[in-house]
Amino acid sequence: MNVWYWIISIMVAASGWVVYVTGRRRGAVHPTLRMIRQRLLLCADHTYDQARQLAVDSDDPLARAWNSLVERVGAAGPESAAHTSGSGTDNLVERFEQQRMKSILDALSCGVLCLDQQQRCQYVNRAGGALLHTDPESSAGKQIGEMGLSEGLVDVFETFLQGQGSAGRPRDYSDKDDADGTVLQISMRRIDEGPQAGAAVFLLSDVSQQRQVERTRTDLIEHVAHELRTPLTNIRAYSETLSEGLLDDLDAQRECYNTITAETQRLGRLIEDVLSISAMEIGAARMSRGRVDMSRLLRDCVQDSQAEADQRKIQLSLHISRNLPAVMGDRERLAILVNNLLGNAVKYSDEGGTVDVSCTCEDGQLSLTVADSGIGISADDLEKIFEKFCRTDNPEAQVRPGTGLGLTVARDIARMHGGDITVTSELGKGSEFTVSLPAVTEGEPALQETS
Amino acid sequence: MAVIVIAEDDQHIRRVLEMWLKKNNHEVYAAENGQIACGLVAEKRPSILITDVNMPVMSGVELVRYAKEELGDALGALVLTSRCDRETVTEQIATEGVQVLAKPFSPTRVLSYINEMLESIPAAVRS
Repeated sequence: MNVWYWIISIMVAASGWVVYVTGRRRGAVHPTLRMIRQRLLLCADHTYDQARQLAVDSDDPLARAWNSLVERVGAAGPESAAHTSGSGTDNLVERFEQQRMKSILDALSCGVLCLDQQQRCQYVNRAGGALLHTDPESSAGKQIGEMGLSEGLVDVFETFLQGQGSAGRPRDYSDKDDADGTVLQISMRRIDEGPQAGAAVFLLSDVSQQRQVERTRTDLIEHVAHELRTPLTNIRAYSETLSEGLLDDLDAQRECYNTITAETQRLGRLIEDVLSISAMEIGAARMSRGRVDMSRLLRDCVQDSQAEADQRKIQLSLHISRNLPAVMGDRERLAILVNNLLGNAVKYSDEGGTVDVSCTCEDGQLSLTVADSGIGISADDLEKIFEKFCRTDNPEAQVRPGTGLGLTVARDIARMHGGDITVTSELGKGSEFTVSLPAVTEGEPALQETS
Repeated sequence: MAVIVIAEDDQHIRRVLEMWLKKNNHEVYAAENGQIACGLVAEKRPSILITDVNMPVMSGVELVRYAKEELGDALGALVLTSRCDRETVTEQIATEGVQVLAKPFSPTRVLSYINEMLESIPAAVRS
């Protein structure tokens, strides 16, 4: 208040001085200046009661500038000067203060709603208006029930105003009819003293995204715990089978060892997937970038899958175009992408099936295709297979172990490299996944090969 | 010796359970989902049912409800589940003769549970 008081006082004094000096120099006072001088005297005598009384009735530039100043001062508060007490200067200062507070509250990212004891909206800031889907200007003075809020929300505010709600920790509110699943966090404070006693202030913030992240994290932990259990059960049960000497037959014993090895690998893949998801969520910032020779990478990945394909009598083939350009990116991550697609192709193919991997380049885009003759994916499932933890509804797929993370990770990696994955599939006939990746262009600086 | 039906979608777990139970002279029938196991329960009328909870086609909870309705006190059921799902599963099928064991389990522990259950099945209803 003090700052504005001084600003206005200085303004008044300066204007008076200008009027006085100009009048003396010219001998005759300009009519507009005379009018302004009269208005300033009103101000000094505290005898005006409405801001507009300070405006002058003229259209010259000086009058327009003065009237604009008066109008801005007059618009500073919703209440007219007639409702305020004290000097005219104090009224102006008060309105400047209100305007200043309003600007500050409107600049806040969280919503502020103030309700009086009679459940009338005293004030709602811009963010509050947006969160409550209500217009801040027209809401002032309205009963809470008339502001167009949902019944549940009105109930939250009313309950608190009636003294039943606790002012402790902020509470989450979500409307069951809200299709967007918006979650509002509401902090409530009651004003106990002063002229506003009995009113309440509500701070509102949209925590939907935060809650979604928390839910995803909990789901991830639950899912991982669930998926860890099966390989762990097998490792434990088969080790115990061997250590208890349950099997005399050497072949049966070897089979036990193989199962333990396979389950350990399954556990490793799961951990790899979870770490990849977690790294992906941290973002591409940590991605190492280098020239990756895709021919070499594909040959390595196919070689790694060969043993499993042989075991299941699946014919695995690789076709790479000559002079395939490199890709700029993270070799480790690109290997995970290829391994996930290859792993799925082998897993979802039946004995005697085929898996074909090919890679070509056209117009600066590498096109990597992994096609299998497996169980295929239904049209309904195709829409969701890249979602985290998605496993198809096909019973034939459900009996094959999986985390539901592999394709999510693969797509994230492709996108991190400026590419994407598409899929075509027919139930019972097989699937074809195509990854597009931008190739290194001629002018691109040659970074060292990462391997 | 008892007739035992196993319902478990993981082939390795199914196999190791079969191995241990057969070694202990039980007559074992294994199914990869709840629905197939239902058929085995109706046909073989087992004394013991060992089942996983999350299985395709029909869950272990539904299977236990069906089997208890079909065989009543003559059946003991052992439900294999995670430690965190244990309470929920117990609430869902809390009846006489249903035990819940957390994964990863030891096959020796499975055998001792089965022996306890076999002893508690009343002689009058034992098939």
